[in-house]
Amino acid sequence: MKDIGRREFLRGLGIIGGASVGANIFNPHWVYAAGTTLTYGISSRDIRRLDPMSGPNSADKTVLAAIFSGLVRTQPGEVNAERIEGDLAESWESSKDLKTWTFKLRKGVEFHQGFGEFTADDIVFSLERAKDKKANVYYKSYGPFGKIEALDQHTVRLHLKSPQTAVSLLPNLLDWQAGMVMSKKAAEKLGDKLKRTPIGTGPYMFKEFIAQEKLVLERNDKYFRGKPGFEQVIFRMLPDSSSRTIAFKAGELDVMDMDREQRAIDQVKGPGVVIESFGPASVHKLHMDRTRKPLNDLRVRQAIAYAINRDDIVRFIGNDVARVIYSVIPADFVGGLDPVPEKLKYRYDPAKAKKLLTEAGLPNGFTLDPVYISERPQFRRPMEIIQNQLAKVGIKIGLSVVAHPAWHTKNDEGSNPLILRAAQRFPTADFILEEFFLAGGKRNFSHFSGADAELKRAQAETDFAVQKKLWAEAQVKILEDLAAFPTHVLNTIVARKSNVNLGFAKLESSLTGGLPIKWNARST
Amino acid sequence: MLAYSIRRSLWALPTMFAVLLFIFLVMRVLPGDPAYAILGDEAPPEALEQFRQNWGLDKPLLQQFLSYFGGLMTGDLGLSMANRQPIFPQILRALPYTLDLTIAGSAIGILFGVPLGVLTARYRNSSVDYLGRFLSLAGLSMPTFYLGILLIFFFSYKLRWFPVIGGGDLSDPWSRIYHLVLPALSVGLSQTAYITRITRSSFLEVINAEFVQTARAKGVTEQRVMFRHALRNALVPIVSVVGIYVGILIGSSILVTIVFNRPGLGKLMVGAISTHDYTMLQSIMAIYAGIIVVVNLLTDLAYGLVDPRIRYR
Repeated sequence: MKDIGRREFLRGLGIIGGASVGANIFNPHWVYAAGTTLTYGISSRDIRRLDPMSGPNSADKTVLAAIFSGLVRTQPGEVNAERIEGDLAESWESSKDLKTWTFKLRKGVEFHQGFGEFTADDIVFSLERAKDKKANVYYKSYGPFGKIEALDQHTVRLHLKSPQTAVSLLPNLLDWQAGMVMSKKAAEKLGDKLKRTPIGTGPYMFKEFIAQEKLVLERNDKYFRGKPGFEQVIFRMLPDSSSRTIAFKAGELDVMDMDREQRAIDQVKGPGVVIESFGPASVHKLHMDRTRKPLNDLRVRQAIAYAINRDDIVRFIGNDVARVIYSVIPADFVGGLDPVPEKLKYRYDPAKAKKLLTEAGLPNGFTLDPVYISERPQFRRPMEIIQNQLAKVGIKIGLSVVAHPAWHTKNDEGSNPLILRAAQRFPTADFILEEFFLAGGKRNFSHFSGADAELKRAQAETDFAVQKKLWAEAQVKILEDLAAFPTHVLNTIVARKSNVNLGFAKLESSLTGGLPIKWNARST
Repeated sequence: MLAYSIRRSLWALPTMFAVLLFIFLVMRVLPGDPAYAILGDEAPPEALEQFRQNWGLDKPLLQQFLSYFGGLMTGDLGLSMANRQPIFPQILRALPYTLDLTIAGSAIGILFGVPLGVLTARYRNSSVDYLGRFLSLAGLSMPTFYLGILLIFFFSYKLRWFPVIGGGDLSDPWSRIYHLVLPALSVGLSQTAYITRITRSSFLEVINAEFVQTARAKGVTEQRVMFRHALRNALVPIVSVVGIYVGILIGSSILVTIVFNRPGLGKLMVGAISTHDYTMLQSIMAIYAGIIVVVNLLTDLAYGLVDPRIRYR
């Protein structure tokens, strides 16, 4: 055989290389799996937490919700604590005093990767772990949980230290955060690796995770609600919104996260594309530090409220994304104040604002400097609008734009007098009320304690109707005192191809803050 | 030469230590709390507290540095604070993509840049020269990421010849090349521009030297004069520029990596900066510093290959 010289070798290499590139040009989609793979471009830089109890963010939860099931679930397409239905639990009943809850479990459910049948032991394990301060960052929500006992393989009894209504208790048992049911066997076998290896009973199984690149799920053919709709789900982490949009338009993504701006929607919408705009709404409210001069004067806080025109903010962000709110709990949340008394809506009235300032002995207004705001457009832009509006009545704000995490640090250490804080929480009133308005809370930026009585009574109340009334009263007190001025809410925006079937008619709300992919399983 | 290499490497150690210490301190001076940056706005205060404890962020700085440095010395990079995955495999996985891009970009630069430089120098002040100089000026002025976006727009979005996202499957060389073409072009074209200019000026210096005239006078063919006599002597500055640029390229390909959503050290690094992922960033910087030291060493050694007068002692 003739020896191959250097020149021949190089020539050969060139031909092979050229040919392969050429071949690809004419068949550009050869690298993408055909068929029923769903590719979801997420805006998160990475998936950070694969242990449901370790504080997953919205992207993490969207992945985890497809892997895990809870004892109960929301109706597909909505999040409403009043309409929760069974998932791993088939039925449940509570004692009269609402302190003992007994759950009948579904039979024949299998954990992923051969970790065996789901039984009452797994519920006991998961809920005990949820109570553990070291394992679960949401342990506070599980504070009222007492003894958890397995009556038999498929019956669990939960003893509560204080009574809880279904609306208060069941959200903690949803397929969300620490309500995701974990496998006892997997925990014993995997040890520390459990934190990186999610094993659940949900429609999709964890297959592969490559940091900052992609996470792959595959179909769980044994899913108890039937065969899931996609063979594979690939989450691709694409933090840059322009290249994410190009990838979506070029057909490399079926679903993508979008910026919460009208501009982004207008860029993408068109034939074959569905824009989903859904809740739970991210509630934006302007906290005013009541211990700081001159904000300690109610008239000054009222002046600020009257000087802000919420319509301008919503008009700027866009109607498909934002909405004006008049209470710190939007009217469509369970327990939201509806209707808000006209007087407490503080409709835009700069003349009244000026009058109030004069009454407070500040006829020429005052200066607040510095007021910190995050560099993120979601916060910075509305705050700049507010800055402008306040300037018109003589209130000058020295805005200091800082990195997002640095802004949080300023807020938490109490050095920011005006905080436009957003909260995307479970849409029942108590979540936001207790986090931001209960005395002593770490995020009670306004140093408000005027609704403590109502909130504490609501916690212990066994009658849901009374509970709702107490929440409403608390909101009235917050508005009267203007501990925080509710401005607007933002929806989450996701674009999807219209031929992607996700198994819901209309998406109103998603528990995870991302597009839910777990509902298109069909019984075979 | 071996003794020389070892001595050079040892000298690099204090540099490396200074770089590591610097990065460690700079990360901690940056405003903002990694707990918030990593866990996000929705995290309950308890989660943030737990995070700070778990990662020892509440401990004194010296103690934090010692535990990091100790880990590094034993070859244990530990876990990423952001995603809790072991750091070393993440870097190991990203590295081939970075090397692919660096090598392909430099190769394109050399392959086009050197001949173009020779041509423009040889036909100085002709239309070839003007065209070549115009192109290289254009290439130098255009940021690589902007060129990248243009390439994506035409070849991926309009023509759909190449993919928009990803770096291809590591185990499948064709998929890797397929995903590499556009990013390598956007890096390589700016390299070409740079190398063209360096080659041209270095070649111009040599081409009028006496030994070249002597070669011509004794009747050597023009081709032989160009490549045997002139180019060889013009190579030294080119090699050093290419060497420096390989180092820069590993860093500057970050923007291209982001535009193309390619995995790679650059992407890991940007992610680590934006989430204040101290552990990850410290490890990447250690590796970067290591690569730069190695590249510099190799460049020094390459001088000896192109210029036999240079000896190492």
